[in-house]
Amino acid sequence: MNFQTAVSWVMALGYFVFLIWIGIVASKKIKNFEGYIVAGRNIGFWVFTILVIASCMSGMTILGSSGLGFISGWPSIWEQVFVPLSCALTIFLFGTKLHRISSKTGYLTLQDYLAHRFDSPRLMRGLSGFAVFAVSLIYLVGQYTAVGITLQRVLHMDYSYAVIIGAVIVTFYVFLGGLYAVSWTSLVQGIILIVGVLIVAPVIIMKAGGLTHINQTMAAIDPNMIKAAYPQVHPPYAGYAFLTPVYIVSFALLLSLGLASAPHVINNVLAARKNSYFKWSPVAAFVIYVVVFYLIKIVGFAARTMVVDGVVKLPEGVANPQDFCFIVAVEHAFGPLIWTFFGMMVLAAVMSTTDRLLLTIGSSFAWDVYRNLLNPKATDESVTRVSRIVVFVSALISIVLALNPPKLLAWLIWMGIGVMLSVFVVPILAGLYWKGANRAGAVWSMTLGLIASFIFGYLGKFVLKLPFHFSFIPFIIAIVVMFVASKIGKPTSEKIIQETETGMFF
Amino acid sequence: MENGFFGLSAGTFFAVIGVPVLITALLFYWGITFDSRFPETVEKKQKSAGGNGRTK
Repeated sequence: MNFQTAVSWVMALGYFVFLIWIGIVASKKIKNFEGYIVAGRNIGFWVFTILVIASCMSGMTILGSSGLGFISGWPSIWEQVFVPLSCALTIFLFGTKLHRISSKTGYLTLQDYLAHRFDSPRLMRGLSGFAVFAVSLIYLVGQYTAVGITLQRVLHMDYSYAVIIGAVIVTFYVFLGGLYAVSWTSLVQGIILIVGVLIVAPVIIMKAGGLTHINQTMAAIDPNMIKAAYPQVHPPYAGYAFLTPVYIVSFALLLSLGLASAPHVINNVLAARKNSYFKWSPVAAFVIYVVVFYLIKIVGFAARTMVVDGVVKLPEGVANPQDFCFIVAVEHAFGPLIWTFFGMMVLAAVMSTTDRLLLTIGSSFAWDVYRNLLNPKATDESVTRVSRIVVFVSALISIVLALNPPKLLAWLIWMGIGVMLSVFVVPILAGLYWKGANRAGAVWSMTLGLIASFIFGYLGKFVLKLPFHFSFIPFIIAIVVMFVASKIGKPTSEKIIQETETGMFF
Repeated sequence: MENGFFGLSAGTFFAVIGVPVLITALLFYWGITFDSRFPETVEKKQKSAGGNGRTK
């Protein structure tokens, strides 16, 4: 073991011990199931804001996003706008109202709201619970794979051991400390990521010759790489030129609304201590995330320039070499020893989503399936126990899958976000803001949205290339079905409409 | 002005900078108009701070 690897191990072990310590401290604050899954509704402003950002930040945030910038240039910058926008939309569009209602009704999960609003305690809860479980599990496998790749690179260890070590650490503190542990670790991980990117990105951009040189280099590769979108031709003239104006519109819906409705993101709004947080938290989350995310993307452009200039080389013999461009750029700009520290930053981004997903799966099963569908008389202690068991079991399943990642993992993750857009967005938005939305509209919209997303996801991948993201059509279908079925079905009672404060407020 | 904005055309530069700035402005507007949408939040704050709740 050389000096650099030894330093990496010391830093990583210190970081892991710190995370475990947070889990142990957090576990002492948990008095009941509410404490475990919504942190007793007692999360402060900045912890809440960073928690929402950290839940949106995934393995994609640094590695995938800079990699997309590397191959596609400026047309891919819209990802940097839509993902931060999803944080803001989660908070102000969904969260403001959900938090107000939940402070009276005591909702613990999004499914509680859907079951209440659409007067469907079993069908709606079961349907949405199934979708949450399936989508989160797919997403979780992707995150564990990213944890493994990052640890492998940072600690120079075997991928299998890297997956297992990373998974054990995350599972341990989620198992013990629930949302308290997730939110506190997210704060630490978020700060590491934000400060890290603010330090490394400007140095890398300067080392690449400055922004003007970077843009001139990309323009020499393909003049469209420094445009806001690729020309609207279909099929695109090159594999990297898929971000055409039409595709970007579907991308906007997918990322800003689909991710905003993701269960592991939206459930955070139930944990905020005060409704007044929803006043400034949307703009705070958006501005912090957009600045960090823009810098990450520009690092991808800078890495492309460094490769063209012959300063660095991407690894050979790996599946997606562009996804290593951020790592390569940091190593070049700061040297391998400093990279170790920033490796923790990448790890922090990945772990902050992994822990929230794990808790979402545990709480969805324990509360929505076990407590509300299977055993309504279950005590608080037994629900918490079931939640912890599910956290443990789903971690085990995900580890096994991540050790041999499915070949179509990246597609499955995009499929997962597409399913969220097609299944959750319409019932939540219509439920919150349209008094005419009812059980028939929600159930049929969700069911047909789910079926259509599988059909068009398959068609878009294996049969015909669509000019937009596949989720665009299922989303439109879900809207139309919600409207038509609600007009035909029995209206929701006035009592429920009032209890759930349904209607426009802005 | 082909190279006037760090090597980007004016249209591209203002699109990639203008959209996030516009969204920030709209979210800021949401913040400054929040109290008028939810007056009871302000009342609660005043009460907990010893304002209206104590003097009434």
